[in-house]
Amino acid sequence: MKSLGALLFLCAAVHSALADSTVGSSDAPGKLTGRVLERGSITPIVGAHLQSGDVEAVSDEGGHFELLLPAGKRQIDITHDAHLPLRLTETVVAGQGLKLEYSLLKKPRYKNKYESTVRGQARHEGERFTLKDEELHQLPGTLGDPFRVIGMLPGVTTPIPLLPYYVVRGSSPGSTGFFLDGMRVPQLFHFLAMGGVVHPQLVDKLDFYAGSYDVSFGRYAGGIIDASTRPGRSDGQHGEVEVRLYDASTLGEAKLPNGVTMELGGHVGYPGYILHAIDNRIDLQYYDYQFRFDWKGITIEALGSYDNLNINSSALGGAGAGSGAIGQLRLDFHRVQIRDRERVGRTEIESALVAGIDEMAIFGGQGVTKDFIGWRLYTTTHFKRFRLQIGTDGEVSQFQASNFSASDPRSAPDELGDLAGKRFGVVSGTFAQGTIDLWPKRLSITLGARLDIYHAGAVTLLGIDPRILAHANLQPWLSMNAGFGLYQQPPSFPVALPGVDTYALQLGLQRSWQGSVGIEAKMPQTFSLSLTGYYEKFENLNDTVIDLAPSLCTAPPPESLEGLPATITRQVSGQSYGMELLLRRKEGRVTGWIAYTLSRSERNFSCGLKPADFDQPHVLNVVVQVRLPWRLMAGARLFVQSGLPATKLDINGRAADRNNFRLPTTVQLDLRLDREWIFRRWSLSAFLEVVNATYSQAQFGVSYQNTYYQPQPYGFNWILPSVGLKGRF
Amino acid sequence: MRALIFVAGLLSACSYTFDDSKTEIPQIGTPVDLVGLPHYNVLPATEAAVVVGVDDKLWVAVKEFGNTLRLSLLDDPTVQEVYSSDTTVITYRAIFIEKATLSATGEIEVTVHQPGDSGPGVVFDFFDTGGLFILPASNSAAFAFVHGDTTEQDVRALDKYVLARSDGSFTRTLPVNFSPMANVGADIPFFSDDGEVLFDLEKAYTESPNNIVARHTHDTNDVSLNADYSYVSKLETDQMRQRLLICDFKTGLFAASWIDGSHTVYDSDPGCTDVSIQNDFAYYSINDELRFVPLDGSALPTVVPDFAERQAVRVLIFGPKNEVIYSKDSRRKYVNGVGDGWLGDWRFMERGGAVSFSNDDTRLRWLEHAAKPNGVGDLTSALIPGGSPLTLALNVSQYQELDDGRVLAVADHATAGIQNRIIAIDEQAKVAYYIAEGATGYQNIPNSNDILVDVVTGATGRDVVRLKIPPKPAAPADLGTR
Repeated sequence: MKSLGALLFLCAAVHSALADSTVGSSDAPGKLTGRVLERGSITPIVGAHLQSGDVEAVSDEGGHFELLLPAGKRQIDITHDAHLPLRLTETVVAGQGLKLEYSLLKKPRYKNKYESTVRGQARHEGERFTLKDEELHQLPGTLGDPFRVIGMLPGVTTPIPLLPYYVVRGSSPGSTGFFLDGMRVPQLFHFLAMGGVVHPQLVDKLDFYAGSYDVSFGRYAGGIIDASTRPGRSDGQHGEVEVRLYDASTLGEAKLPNGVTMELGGHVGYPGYILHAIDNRIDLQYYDYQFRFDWKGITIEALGSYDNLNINSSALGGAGAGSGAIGQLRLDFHRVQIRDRERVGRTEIESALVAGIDEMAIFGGQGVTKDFIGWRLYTTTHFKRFRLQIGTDGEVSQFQASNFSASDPRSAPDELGDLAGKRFGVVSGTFAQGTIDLWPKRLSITLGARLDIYHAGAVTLLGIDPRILAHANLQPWLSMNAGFGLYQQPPSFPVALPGVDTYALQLGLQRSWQGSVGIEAKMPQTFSLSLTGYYEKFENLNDTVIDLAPSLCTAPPPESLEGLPATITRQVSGQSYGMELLLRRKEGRVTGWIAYTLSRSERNFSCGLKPADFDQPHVLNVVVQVRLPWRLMAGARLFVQSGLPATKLDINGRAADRNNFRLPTTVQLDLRLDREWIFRRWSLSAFLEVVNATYSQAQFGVSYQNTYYQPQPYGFNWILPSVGLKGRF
Repeated sequence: MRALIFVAGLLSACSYTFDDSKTEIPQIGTPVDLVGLPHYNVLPATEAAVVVGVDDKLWVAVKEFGNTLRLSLLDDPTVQEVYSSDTTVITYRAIFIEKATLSATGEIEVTVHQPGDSGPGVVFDFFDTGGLFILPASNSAAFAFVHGDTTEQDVRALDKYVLARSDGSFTRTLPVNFSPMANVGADIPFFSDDGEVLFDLEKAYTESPNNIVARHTHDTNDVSLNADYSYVSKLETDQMRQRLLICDFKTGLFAASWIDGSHTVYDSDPGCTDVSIQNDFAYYSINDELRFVPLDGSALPTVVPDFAERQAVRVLIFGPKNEVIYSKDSRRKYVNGVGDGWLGDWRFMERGGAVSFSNDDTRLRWLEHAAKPNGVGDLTSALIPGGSPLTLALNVSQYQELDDGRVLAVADHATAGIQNRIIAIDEQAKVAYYIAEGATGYQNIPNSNDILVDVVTGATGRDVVRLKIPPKPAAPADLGTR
């Protein structure tokens, strides 16, 4: 580089000398200065190579360059690894300067050979499904929300196709943990069913662990969704605004001195205005916000979400029902995290402090607030053939009942039972695990255990979870993962909700013994094929029932629960087993996957081992994204899923059996088309998406009209179109 | 060695529970086998009640799935009557069977039937296109049939109701002066105990001033009680004196005769918010005070000492010696009138309801933490006064004390299901005897120690069986704990 600079300097000096001696001569050089930016943004490109004949220059940190060229028409080639090359001709006037700005188009990701994911960078062990980029943000059927991708992954069933409510490997829906940058977040979607609570472009990566993960994840008996946000880009200022049918979002990124970056983003939803136009007795609002500050290894984050739905009582009861709201459905949470990542010698240290407030109210205004402080300290020490991870995490929380309704004077605080009891909660866990390379680069074993303690009210629970994982590279193209262990979780509500945890500890810990074995083969054309088999045994699981009617064959609610938790919680044992087949292509013009899950989930009801209420044996997801000319990207998703089981009564209306027939199979087609227009300093994207373009029916139960032997499936046909516009720089 | 460590690790996989919150009353014994008991239903039942037949024998009326009404003689379930009905209202002395006819005018037929009557019953034909509800008098002597024109969306078009003697001797049609959609007990009319008078609360949909009118069920005489309903806080019937006791926020406490409309003023202080009748006295709340006055007017109102000073808001029940069990929470603070409970300075209840005295008057019992829409709470007991609360059973929906001192309760009833059970709690022995499983509720059979039990049988219905409560065991020693 130095020699190149010297050469440039020499050339410039020679040209300068000649120019001095021949003022006005046609041989005098012209001076080209300017910047190289990424097209569609104001981001400078560092290290862009500019060349005209023998004269070369390289753009600096601000994208600036300077070229001294002989007068006349000169062809200039501008190249950069991550961008498409640009060739153009400039007219150089002797002795005059020319200020220019070049814009290089970023290479499509599928053409970029310099980016790859390194497996060893993951801080958690276990077989996982990793999603990034377009797979997170532009998949058909997701409405652009990264977390909706979960429903398309192997091992996941979606009992009610319209709703992002997921069952992982036949476990209880409340057994799945959501993490964002290491923080536990109580909800992923506004009103549990609408847009995501985090700006999609902030979500950089999503790892999905269906089961058999290591001990660094604790206090969940099912799968794990571990998402991480990205820091603000250090290459300049960025911003974007997106407007969709029912919400608008914005994201700003700022590069500040001393290596500081900041991001600020959020959503504001306005479905309420649309609903209000139809019926002014319904009020619905939601918003979320995210802030992230990065400096060296320190990250400060603040994020939160607020959902509020008010329904006026006259909406339900007619003119005689009086006026005023029947109360609120309110969900909100707020988090602040300070995290530091350091490396000291052989040891990587991650430490974090988290504080937060959760609030939840059901209709009628009854609710609960939770204030908490949490901590996390993880260390990973690397030796030659051994890696040791030790960590601790936990939180101290205070819960109390609240009445959020301003208009309904008659409250029912006991309706929430244990959920709303005033209590202090303590949960804390410690883990240690070692990964040893038994056969370097061929076979590694991870062995660990975690100890968790839970306390609330007069009850204390203690759980010890040992787990073992193995990874083997059988061939350069063939690898194998296996895992076995115990996964314990305190009593949980079937739906993750803000402020709803560390309650009803008298029910004891939920236990899941998980074992899985999987192989993955790398195939030509960047295809990969994986096959995983699993078995999970559940004990004391806090399940839920869809069919809430009394039945002879059921799992009764726990005796010590009251109110709403007792109504929908069932404490059962059971098992699930199955096979997940995945054919995936991550790179190229055409990407996507075919995921097929064959599974069975069963519960020990009072009449024996029967299919669980969420058992859906066949799930097929075919997801395709195609990058077309003119910056078009088309996507389609075919979703086929067995219907939910239901209980058919005998002719006398008695149900001695349970889940003895199945609702019709769900077939759903989602379509999405994206188009991007790139201008010099900004770009505009538009998308059109139709979820369930086939207008298929979502069926989730049965009713009986006049005869018991003719159950009528109930559900509804639906279609969800969405359009959006996004401008960014 | 590593394998040994791994095995040791697996063996250590466990969980431990340290729980100091368990209830103090274990449930023991074996429930009665309900399978062998006579069922009063064939299809799953949706409602059941004991009804007096024409021969004064007791019958069981059961509404079954599929619009079937089955009447069975209590002592011999094989003696049955079966009817088809769109809507059925069961009272102790009669059954009101509503059925749409197949005529083009959409007439509705209401039959008043008494079990054991071999005749057609008393049949009423109404002309409207949609019956809303039947409102019977408690003694079944009369009823009101409120109906509407379903082609009209505006409830003001529901302009008629029929007031009839159940024996068909008299019928009259009257304009609707109330909101048929309102909650029962709000501004729905109600009958006097003898069914002679319907109190029609002119309020919502008439241009006339709000007024309470006594509409007779024998003739067309209407007696205006000259009471502006907009200020009425509470009404009670003084059947003995044929007067309606009116607690009026504006004018105080007075009684209006439904014979001639004359008023008897008990207390002219404004601010009356609540009234109840106890031992021929009216107890009422005025301006934060609890006062009582004899209904015969023989004495002036008397203030219950310390009621206002204790910030009491309302009376929950009266004790055997007229002790006042009161609440500082208003009736509307929580659902179902739930609130705190006090006796003197003793706060025995945090947020409950269904307070009662034990038969020997030594204990209070109540359902704690019952602020739920279904009113279920934890059955709690405490010695009077100041005793520590003892939780007898969780999620109790119904309870009563038996003659042998045990407390019969439907427990584990947070929601209806096979987990519901009837237990008999012996407070002295601190045990609860398991009586019936899958039982969602019961009702007493008059003149008997037996109960009629609802037993979960399917997804939408239940069986109705008669159960003899097992006698109190001598000692609970060798019964297994559930």
